[in-house]
Amino acid sequence: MEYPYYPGCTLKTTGKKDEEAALEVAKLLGFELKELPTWTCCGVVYNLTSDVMADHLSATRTLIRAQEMGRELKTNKLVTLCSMCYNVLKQVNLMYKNNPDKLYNINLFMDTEEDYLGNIEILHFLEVLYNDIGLEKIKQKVKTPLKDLKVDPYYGCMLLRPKTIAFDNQDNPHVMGDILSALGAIVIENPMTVECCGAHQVITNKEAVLDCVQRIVNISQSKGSDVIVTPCPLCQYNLTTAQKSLFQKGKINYQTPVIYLSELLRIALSDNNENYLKEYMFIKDKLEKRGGL
Amino acid sequence: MAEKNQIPLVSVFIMGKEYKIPSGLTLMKAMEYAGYRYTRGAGCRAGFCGACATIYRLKNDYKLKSALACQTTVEDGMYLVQLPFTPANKKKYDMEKLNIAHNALLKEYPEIARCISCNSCTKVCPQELKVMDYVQASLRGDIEKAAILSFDCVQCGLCAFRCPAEITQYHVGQLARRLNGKFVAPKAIHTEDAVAKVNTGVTKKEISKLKSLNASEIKDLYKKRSIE
Repeated sequence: MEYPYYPGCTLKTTGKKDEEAALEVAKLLGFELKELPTWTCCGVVYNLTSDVMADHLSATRTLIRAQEMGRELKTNKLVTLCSMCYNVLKQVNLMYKNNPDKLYNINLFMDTEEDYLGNIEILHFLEVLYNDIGLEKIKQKVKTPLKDLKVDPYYGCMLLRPKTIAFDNQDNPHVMGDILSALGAIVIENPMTVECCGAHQVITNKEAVLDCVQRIVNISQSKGSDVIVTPCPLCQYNLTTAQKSLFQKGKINYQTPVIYLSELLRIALSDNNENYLKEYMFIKDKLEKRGGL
Repeated sequence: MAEKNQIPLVSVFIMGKEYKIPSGLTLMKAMEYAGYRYTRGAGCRAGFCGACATIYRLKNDYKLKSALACQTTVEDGMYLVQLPFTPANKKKYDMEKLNIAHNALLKEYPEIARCISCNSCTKVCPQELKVMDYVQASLRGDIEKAAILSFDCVQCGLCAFRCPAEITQYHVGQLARRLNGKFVAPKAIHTEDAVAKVNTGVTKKEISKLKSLNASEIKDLYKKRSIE
């Protein structure tokens, strides 16, 4: 099975690890993420001003690219890894479904492209794992069970808000937890899992991010998590860098590693991962101690 | 003269005023035929220097088109104006202090983050470059791709005029190519060798000999040169 795949800018720069791991995970689970041959930035934030169409051009162009590749691969799906891209693309797509007049206008404007027909379905990598591959198959493919590894799945906002684009329960999401359980991990229930990490405030108001992250990490640590996993590059960045500052300021006693869900999946799904594990000594140590490796 | 040779005339509106111009002339020649004299906005007259960016419309067409005046011939009912200069934000940077981190281009030209992918730049480019794609590549730190996609840029500046995000694409591309040349592309060893050879003074004698000649002697020398 091949899926058209949209990486987004972050996964080519600061979030490279996520992409590398996810592409490998896809291979291990028997499907392929085929990157769109050309793509533009998703637009970063979905513009809520109802009459500013220019800000939706980026996402629309990507939807057209997906439409082109979809014809070739005989699918109407487009997979994203970054939560932010997922959010923007899915909201723009939905806006066209609800407002055919806007789709008509933007197609008139984009006169060098084929018309976007409004049929693309935006999927997050997690949805592919959960719905298309399924927990049973993932369970069968596990080569290194994450035995007794205490994992805190952190969602952030972008996958679940607004409700119209959420693919999981908004207040009590379970998809990531279910996948982690299938890998053999102990899933920690953190009520802060859908709270904001501070997002782009990191540029203008770092203190706000520190506050957000402290609340998330405090509960995670009090529940004894070994690692926090997230599908979102911005959450990963904020949670990691803010913990560094919080630790220096003495506001937390230690820093909990924050990695991408795809990285943990890759560890669990491969057997020959001694080399790969070098980067994840905290996991290796924990797993060895608990007899997981 | 044109009538005598029976070259059909076409109507061209230069800055709103109608002129009858022999068909087949380039926009640049047409302007000169109409009596304009270039002091700026004309360079190599061969499509390489990018000095003669021109915008025009055709009769009954809403499209605003663009061209290099030296590379495009007149059409009947053409409304045109030539842009002699692009006021553009060109950063001063020290190549020795730059690097190829993913935000290297973004640091010098932060406005590339304002790109909304409207594709206006690509549509206007007389070199038919994928301008939007190289801006997007720059945005995500793919310097090599930005350099390759912008390689044939002649710096005419039309993209910067059309950009709603006020990006000066052609300067971004130029920086990408410089960074690519300095840090990414393989070194041209033969060029380095040649420069080192020049620095030893091996060409000095020939050049001073040429400098001492007068115009007619140089002309003679030119006529007698060996041609491949």
